Amino acid sequence: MPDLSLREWLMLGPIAAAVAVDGRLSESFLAPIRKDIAALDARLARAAPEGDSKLKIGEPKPVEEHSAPEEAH
Amino acid sequence: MAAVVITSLIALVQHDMKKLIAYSSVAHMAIVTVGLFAFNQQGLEGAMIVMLSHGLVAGALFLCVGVIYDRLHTREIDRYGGLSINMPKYALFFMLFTMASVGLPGTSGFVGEFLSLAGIYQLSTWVTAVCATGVILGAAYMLYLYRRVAFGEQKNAEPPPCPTSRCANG
Repeated sequence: MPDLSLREWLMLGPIAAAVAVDGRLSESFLAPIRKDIAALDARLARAAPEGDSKLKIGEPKPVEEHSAPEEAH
Repeated sequence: MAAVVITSLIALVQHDMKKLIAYSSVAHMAIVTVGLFAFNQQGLEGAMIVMLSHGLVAGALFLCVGVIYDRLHTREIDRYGGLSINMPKYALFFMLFTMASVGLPGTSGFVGEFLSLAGIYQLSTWVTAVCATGVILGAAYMLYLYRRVAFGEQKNAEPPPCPTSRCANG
C-alpha cells in the first residue's frame, strides 16, 4: 500500500506539531486560563466536599549552611 | 469513575478501529468529569487540558483510521498488520497520536491526565486509584491496537482493487 500522500501529510503534520507543542510547552496553554480557573475554583470552593486524603503541606526544611571542606585533596 | 474502567474494558475487546477510538473518547471524557468534580485548581485545569488534548488526538486518530480505510475499505483491525513495513511515515504519525492518547510524558495527553488525577487525589484516593487503573487500561488498548495494525505479519502489501466505479478513472 502507498504511504502518506502530500494531502495526508498536510492534514496530519499540523496536528502532530500541536500535540508535541502542547505536551512540552503546556504552560503556554495553562497560563491564559489560570486566572479564570482560579475564579471558578473560588466560586466552587464552598461546594467542595471534604477529601479523604488529608494532604498537608509541611514547612520547608531550613537550609543548612554547609561548611567548606577543610582541605581539598 | 466507573465509566473510565468500563469503557476501557469495552475498548479492549473491539475489532473495529473507529469503535475503539470512540470508546477511548468516552473514557477520556470520564477523566474530564472526574477532574471537574475535584472542585480544585488542579482538577479544573486538568479537565480543560484533557479536553483540548483529546480534541486534537481523537481527531488525528480518526484521521489515521480514515487514511487506511481509504486504501483497504475496512475498519477491521484484523485485516491490517505490518503497516510499519510498507507505510513507515504513517506508522510514525500513528505512534505519536497513540502515545498522546495513552498519556506519555512529552505529549499533550500526559499534562491533562496528570493534573486531573492530582486534583482528584486531594479529594479521594479511591477514585484516583480507579481512574489510574483506567489510564493503565487505556495504555493497554491503544498499544494493543498499534501492535496489531503496525507490527506483526504484513497482510496487505498491495491494496485490493477498488470496489466502486469511482476508481475507474484513476
